[in-house]
Formats: sequence, structure tokens, C-alpha cells
Amino acid sequence: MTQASIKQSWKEKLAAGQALATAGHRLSAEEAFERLDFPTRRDETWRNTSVKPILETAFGTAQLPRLDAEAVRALRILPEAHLLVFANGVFQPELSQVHPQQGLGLMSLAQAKQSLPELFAQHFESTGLAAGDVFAAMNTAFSQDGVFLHVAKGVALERPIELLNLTVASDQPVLAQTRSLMVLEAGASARVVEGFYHLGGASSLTNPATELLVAANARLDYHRLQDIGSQNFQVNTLAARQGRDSHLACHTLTLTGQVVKNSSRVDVAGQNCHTALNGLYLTQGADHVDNHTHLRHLAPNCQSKQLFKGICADNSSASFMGMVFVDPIAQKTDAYQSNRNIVLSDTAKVHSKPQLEIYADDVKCSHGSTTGRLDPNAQFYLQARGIDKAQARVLLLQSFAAEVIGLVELEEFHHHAMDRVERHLARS
Amino acid sequence: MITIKNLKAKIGDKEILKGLNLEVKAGEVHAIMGPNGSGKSTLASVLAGREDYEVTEGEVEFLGKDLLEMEADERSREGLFLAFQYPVEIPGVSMTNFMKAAVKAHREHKGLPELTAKEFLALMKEKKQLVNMDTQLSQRSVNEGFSGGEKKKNEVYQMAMLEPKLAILDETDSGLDIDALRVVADGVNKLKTKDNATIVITHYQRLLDYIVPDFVHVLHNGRIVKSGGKELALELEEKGYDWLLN
Repeated sequence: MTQASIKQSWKEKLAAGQALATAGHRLSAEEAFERLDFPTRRDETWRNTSVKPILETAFGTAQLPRLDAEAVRALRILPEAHLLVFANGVFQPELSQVHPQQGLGLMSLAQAKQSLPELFAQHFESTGLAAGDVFAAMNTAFSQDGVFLHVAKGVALERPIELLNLTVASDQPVLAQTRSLMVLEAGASARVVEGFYHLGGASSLTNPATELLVAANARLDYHRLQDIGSQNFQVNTLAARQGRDSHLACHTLTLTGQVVKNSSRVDVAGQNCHTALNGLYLTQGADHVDNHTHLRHLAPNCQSKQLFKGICADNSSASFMGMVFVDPIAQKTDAYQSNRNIVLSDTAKVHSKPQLEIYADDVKCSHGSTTGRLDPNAQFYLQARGIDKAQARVLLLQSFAAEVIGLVELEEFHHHAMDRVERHLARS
Repeated sequence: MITIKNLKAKIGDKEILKGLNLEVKAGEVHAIMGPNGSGKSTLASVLAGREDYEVTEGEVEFLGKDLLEMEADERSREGLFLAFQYPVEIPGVSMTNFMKAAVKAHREHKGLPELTAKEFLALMKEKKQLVNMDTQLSQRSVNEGFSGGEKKKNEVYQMAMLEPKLAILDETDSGLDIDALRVVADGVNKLKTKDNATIVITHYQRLLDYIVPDFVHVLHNGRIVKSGGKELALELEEKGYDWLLN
């Protein structure tokens, strides 16, 4: 199939109902979707990730799935949290539950467009997410629903928010996308956990996109767990903007996926911000995980930390590309970026490219990257104390992973992540 | 306890042990001395089961079993302990989790039930006192950021936790000031019983003032070239090694 016919086919699958985007955004995003080519390895940010297996998949028309409430409950990490469930991009109100709190607006994005049109118009696509990227443009042009979160000025959310983003295929591969918009007004705070899972049937491609708008003095802790299964694809685009004195932490744990591409862009637009982008990916079989971060320091006196770690087994592969940009105005920036990987086989592959682009002269920026085998001396040391080889290996890998998970402050997610990682490593 | 017969071992193409014989009985302390490069640390590594070394000839019987057939972790569970010359730093693995896993493996091997959390903490506390180990250290990652003295104390602490039948101390005195040396040696002496044995590998006589050996052996060029009582160590201190080697 040609690119044009693939796009036409995808558009038919995705654009059947009412689009979220207002006419202006929709037109320009659709124009970008038509105009931009699918990325190839010649594109800098896709150098290590091939879209070919995605383009070669013949996606069918998504059926509205019947979801078993028990199966959904089993996926929950935070039983006390607010919950929004989406299946194949469609909101599932009967499986969702929002506990009212003054100052909290939590609903599907399609509903927010109806009931809170000013907020929607003010913030949707305000990060300019669709520009220059065919997948993000597709999301912006054709998305029909997703999450809307609004936390009013000065409000601290008591309960965390849990989002379940599910796909269920029939005998044909399914294509689905959601659009999320999270707005924290000045001084607000929220904790969000989003899980991505594929519940069965043929394969899936999910193309979620998320905008995070964190105003002055606000704090957002956003966690995602990607466990979509080794026959499925995800292209996940995130764009965030921070006002002065705000905190933003994004933690991404990727456990499975044939191709998972995470592109995250954060604009640090106000002074005295703290930004943390952390990721842990455990690849097995022929899985491929690609994290691309683009952190732009656009104001002085801000601190950012990025830690991405991977454990790659079998024939799997991983890529990390991180760009830290420091604007001339962003003096006293303190930016740190680190990517560390362990390869467990001769055939696992890792590409790592941390980058700095600094235009201010009074900054502290550092980056580093290491990729290697498990330390045989450490393994021998553990064995010499009676711990068998397999367990020594698991202990060392767990502790390697624990450094990233240790940065998660939300206790339930921390424990769940550690538990999942332990079980995952014990199997590998 | 352990009987080593005609042990030959190499690393890569280089033969380092060239037919070593040694017998250590329960209740005994043996010192192995020798100049740099004589094969002291290789002997320790080969006995502990480090895979970098290839045993080409000879046999080692440990408590009636063929030691060389066992993996490093089996040797430990059977009661052999190596105090490392260079203890390894393991970021991310806490001392507590490390010891919990080790003690559990040892107890399983002996058919003993797993310790409760409370019992385990009590055991750690008791053994820490033996080497005056700072309580803080056990909260930290294994050897990470430990000083030279702390690392060596930590080796003896682990020995106390695992109560080996045979302990091999590989250059345990290196990098220690006199106070730390005394603490480490005290710990080793307190752990000594009539049923266990110790092999002290050292370059200098100094440690042997504190851990008094029953036998002293001089290793040179991969073989034991002289054996004697504790007075041999003093003689070596005075005359050096040259008189023995020529």
C-alpha cells in the first residue's frame, strides 16, 4: 500500500464519529497528517525505530468491545482512586468512577468540550502538539475522546487519578487513539497513573497524545505503565508546559510492546521549576522501546533531571534519545540527563544518544550514557555468599531497576511497579 | 576439613598454581604467606569458585565432598567462606536484602525454616556488634561508599552471619589502620571454634600478631615451598622471602 492509501484507510477507521478538535485545529492537523510522510530511519528522531511493521498491519474497523468489569478491576493499581476507563478509544462511563471534590473537573474530553467549552478552547492543542509529527497530527485531527482533567487554583487533589487505556481486538487488528488534556491551575496538585493494556484478540496500534499544562506553583506527578503485549504497537506523544515555580514529574515504565515509541516534550516556561522525566524499560523477545525526550529550558533558575534505564534481553532493542535545550535567557539552569542500560544477550541492541544544546553561559548541565553487561564481579560476590546464580542475577537487575522506581513518590505505584518488575525479571 | 592435592590452575594461558598441596583440619589456623605474584589470591579465588580460573589438575576435598565440582554458591552453602581482598560495591542492593537472601539460602540448604523478620533483625544486630559495625551501614547498598576499613569489617560481619566451617581471609589486612585491623582480627578470633578452621592469606606478618596461626606456609611460584609453625612468620618478617626462594 502507498502512504496515501494507508493514511486514507487509517482516517476511515478513526474519523467515523465526531472529532474533538475545533474546526481550525482539525483542518490544520488534517492538513499536516496528509502532508507529512511517515517517518523513516532518515528522520533524526526515528533513526532507531522502524514504522514498517506498523504500516504493514491491515487494521480492521474497531468493534465496540464488551468489557468484563472483573478483568478491568484486576488491572487497577489504585483501588481508591478516581477512575476513567477507555476501550479502543471509547469512554466507558459504566466502568468509570469519579469521586466529587470541590475544584476537580474530571470527565471525558468529549464531555468537557460540551460542558466546559471555554476551558477546552483555551487549552486544547495549546502546546502545538500536532505540528511537525504525522502521528500527533493524526491524533489531533481525528481523536474523538480521551481524558479531561482540570484542577482549580490552589486545590490539592486528595485521591490520585487512575486512567485505564485498553484495547480489545476481534480477529482483525485494531487502531485506536485517545487525547488527554490535563490542566492544573496555579497552586494545584494532582497525581495521575495511566495504564496501557491490550486485552486480547488480534494486534493493536494505539496512538495516544497527552497535553499537560502545569501553571505557576502547581505540581503534577504523572505515571504511565505500558504493558501492551509483544504483538502490539504504541506511538505515545506527550507535550507539557510548566509555569513558574511548578513541579512536573513523568515516570514511564514500559514492560512489553512490539514497538513502543514515546515522544515527550516539556517546555519549562517559568522560573524556578523542577522537572523530572524518568523511564524504565524491560525489553524481551523482539520488543522494541524508543524513548525520545525534548526538554526545553526557556526560563532561568530551573532544575531538570532525567533518568532512563533499560534492561534488554533476547533479540529486543531499545533506544533513548534525549535533548536538553537551554535558551539564552535560561541562566542558572541545572540540567542532568542519564541513560543506562544492561544488555543480557549478544543479540539485544541499545542505541543511546543524550544531547545538550546550550545557549546560556551560566548553567550546570551534564549528561551521560552507559551500556554494558551485568557486572560479573558483583554476581560472583553474591554467589560467594550462597545465593545461586539465577537469583544473584535477579537481585542485581532488580536493584538496577529500583533506582528509577525509587524516584516514584506515589507509594502504591512504587510498590506495584517494583512488583511487576520483579516478576518480569524472574521470568526473563 | 579441606585437603588440597597437586592443585594446578591457570588463567588464560598462564599457569599460576603449579601443584599445590595443603591439609587443614578443624580447629586450626593456617597462614599462607608469600611475595606478590606467588599465587596467594589465585588460591583463594580457585577455592571460592571464581570462574575466571581453570583448574587443570589436582583435587580438593572439602568435608568429604569434591569441592571443584561445586558452583561458588554451593561451596558457600557447604560452609566455605571467602573474605574478599577487594569487596565488591553493589549499588542498589541493600546490605539487609543481601544478607536476607544469603541467610535464607544457607538455612534452606540445611533444611532449617526461614527466619522471621524479627529473628533476622536480632541476628543482624548481634553480629554487627561483633565487629562494631555502624548500624547505618546495613541500611546502605552493599559496600557502596564504604571506607577500606568498613569494607573489611563488612566481610567479617558477613562471615559472622553465615558461620562458615572454613574461612579464607584474602589479604584482609590490606588497607587497614591498626585500630581497624584489631577490630577485624578480634572478630575473626571470636568466631573461632574447635569445629571450624581459618586460612589467612597475607603478605605481611602484622596480621598474624592478632590472628595467631598454628601453621605458616610460604607460597612461591604456585607451590608451597616451606611450612612451619608461627615462628616462621617472624623469621620471614626479619629476613624477607629471598633466603627461601633461591
